[in-house]
Amino acid sequence: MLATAIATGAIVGFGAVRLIRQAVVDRYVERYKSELRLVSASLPRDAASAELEREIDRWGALVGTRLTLIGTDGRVVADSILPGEPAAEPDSLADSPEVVAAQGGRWGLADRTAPATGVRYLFLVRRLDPDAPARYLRVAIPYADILHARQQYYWPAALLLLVGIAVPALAAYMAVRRWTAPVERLRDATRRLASGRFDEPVPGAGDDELGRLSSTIERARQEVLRQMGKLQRRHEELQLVVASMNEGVLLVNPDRHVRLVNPAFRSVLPRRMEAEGRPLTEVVRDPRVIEAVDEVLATGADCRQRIRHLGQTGRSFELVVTAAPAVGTERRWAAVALFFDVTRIEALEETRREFVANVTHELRTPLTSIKACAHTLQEGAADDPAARDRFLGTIVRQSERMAALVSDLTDLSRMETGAIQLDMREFDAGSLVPDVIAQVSPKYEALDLSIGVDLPMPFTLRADRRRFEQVLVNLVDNAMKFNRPGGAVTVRGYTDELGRRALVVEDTGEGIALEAREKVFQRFFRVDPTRSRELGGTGLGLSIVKHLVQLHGGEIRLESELGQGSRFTVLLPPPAASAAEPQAAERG
Amino acid sequence: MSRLERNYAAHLEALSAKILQLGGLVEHAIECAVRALVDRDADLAREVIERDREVDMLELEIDQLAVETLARFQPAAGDLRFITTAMQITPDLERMGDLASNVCERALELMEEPPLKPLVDIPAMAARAQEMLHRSLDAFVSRDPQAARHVITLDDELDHRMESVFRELVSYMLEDPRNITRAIRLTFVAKYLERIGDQSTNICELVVYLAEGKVIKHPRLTVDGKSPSAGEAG
Repeated sequence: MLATAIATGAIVGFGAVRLIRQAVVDRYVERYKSELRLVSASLPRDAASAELEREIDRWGALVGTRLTLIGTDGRVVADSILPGEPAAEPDSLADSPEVVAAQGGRWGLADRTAPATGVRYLFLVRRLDPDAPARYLRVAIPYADILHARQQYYWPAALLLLVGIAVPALAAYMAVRRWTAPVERLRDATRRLASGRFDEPVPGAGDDELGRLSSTIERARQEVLRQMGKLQRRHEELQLVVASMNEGVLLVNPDRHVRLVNPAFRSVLPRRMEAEGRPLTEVVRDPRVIEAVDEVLATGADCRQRIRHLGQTGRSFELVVTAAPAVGTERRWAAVALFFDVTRIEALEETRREFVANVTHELRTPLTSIKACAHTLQEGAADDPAARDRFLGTIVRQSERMAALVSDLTDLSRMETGAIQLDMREFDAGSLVPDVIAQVSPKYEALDLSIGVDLPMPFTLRADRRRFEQVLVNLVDNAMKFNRPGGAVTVRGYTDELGRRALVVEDTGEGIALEAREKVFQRFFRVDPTRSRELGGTGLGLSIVKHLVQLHGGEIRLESELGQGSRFTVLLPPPAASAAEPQAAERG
Repeated sequence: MSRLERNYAAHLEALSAKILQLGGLVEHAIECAVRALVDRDADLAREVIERDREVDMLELEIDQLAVETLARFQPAAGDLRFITTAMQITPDLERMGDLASNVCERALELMEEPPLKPLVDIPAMAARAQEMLHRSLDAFVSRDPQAARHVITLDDELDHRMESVFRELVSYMLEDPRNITRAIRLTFVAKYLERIGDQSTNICELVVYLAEGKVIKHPRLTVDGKSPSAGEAG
């Protein structure tokens, strides 16, 4: 645009300069032509050369420039030389270009430098009439005059030119601009949209075609924004669901790269680095998981399997891998792997299996001997009084053992299902403890145990008396049963700093090894299975004790040293009255 | 990326994936072996021995892939280090797979007799050896020289534990000559576990080499075979 303006300006300017130059020259030539006509008309005919000289000088002064009369032979007839100008001219001017030009017509014109002075002139020659005193009349127009005249035209012309070009150019530019600016704004806006920046609105552009186009684009932008918002919310909801799942989620692309994991998965397989985008083998190394995922990726068939002891945590999982159609790839399946933590379920299943096995075993042993005794009696032993009594005795002992087992199991199951209602009352343990000892000790008279009781008086407990008696019986029975001959059993009571009532049963038996201490409270656990059965335990005693103490809101502790003995401590919550008013209890 | 470069990248990734797959198989084999030993599970032990074939097959595959990658793409710098490291890690892992099989063989032998004693130290050793292998593979995945160096420090503890297991078993042997066969078999198991720790240390040294280009095995030797500290002292 600017280039066009400059080019136009240059062309017009060049033309104008040529025009002005020619016009000025022409104007001068015209003026001097008329002056030469006047002079030539007024020159006297047949005048003497002196008179001619005077006449020319006079006219020269009037015209304001040098006039020269040239004869037929080219010699100077008369010359008006202004003062200070050297008059020197060549002898003959017949060969000068202006004279030569005038020979052909009436006028001759030449633009040349006067050799004597070096000044440039425009020489104009008029061929005179035949009756004239000379052949030619020449006027020398100083070129400086012409140049000066030209200068006077150039500046206004240039100014006019500038205005004439620049103003329309500017006006045109403004006009074009008014049309292109909205297009450019629209272009910028669509570029922003193309690069994914949907936040800035598309500018409006009036009511024309362009305006309608831009408002359509703006509506499209708003629609895209709305859809994006919807997708974003949907995405966030799904994200939330996946993140809050308890099951580990692992999404694997068809190219075996991990696409997504949720926080639960990170607790299944702890890794320090980011899992997303990594190859599956970098995230999971367990061959069972890899095989399952690979199979699903290859076949598209779902896969479910139990994975025990996964990773470092040692937990067990139910792994369910589902094929999901993959988007935008040639291979067809992505794999969604869900990790359900079944560690607890497995532990429960294991406990139940063990329990059933134990109960079966514990019941079968006495049943076998009862059956054997009964058979023997049937086959004739009943006739032998001594044998009959022995076998009947065995049957009674073994059925008692079965009855005890069944009653213990019933108690346990009632406690576990919460079917036992405790009759909580406050009572003094001072009478309970001797009762229990009196009840248990006759069985173990052979061991010759020394029994000590150390209780504050009174020692108020809040408990179900009958159930708590069961606890004490079990503990004291154990303490005596597993004692060494001549050993000691001590029952002590005290109130700890929290007001809890502690009942301690100590023995001087063999003690319980560290790894067995946790297990003694489990059902059917026996430190020494053979000995315990010989001694007639069900294997459920301590389990019942623990459950009963817990039902009372208390806890049971076990300290033991191998070869030295064991100490069971039952801690019961403080009785309500003494917790509120310890002094009152003391006074009472 | 040109097709050649994509192909090259795919080769490197496949190599890495196969090594980790091998690592996973070996980790699992060791875990199963120890469980078979502790739980006296003969089926599990036989399964581990049976599945060692998979480890061997994978080792061959990795070797072939590594050589092919070297020959076709002539890698340089980091990639070259990765491939040579891969070629050294693979036999270490395969050896650990063999050790897991060995543990299972001893476990099967031990099952023919009643247990000598409750196993306490050996499962603890196994847990530590498994942890070392697990962490060394993690260090390999994340190219983390710090983690690798940390694993190397764990090896001392494993060695100490093996010493104490050894002393304890010797005391069983002295106590009763009938214990000797079983005690020796358990000693072997402890030794296998200690070897697994050593192999994990090897892997970690290779991880440091991979990440930093520094050779940290045999710290007292330089490439020309001279002891650097002796040179300084002299």
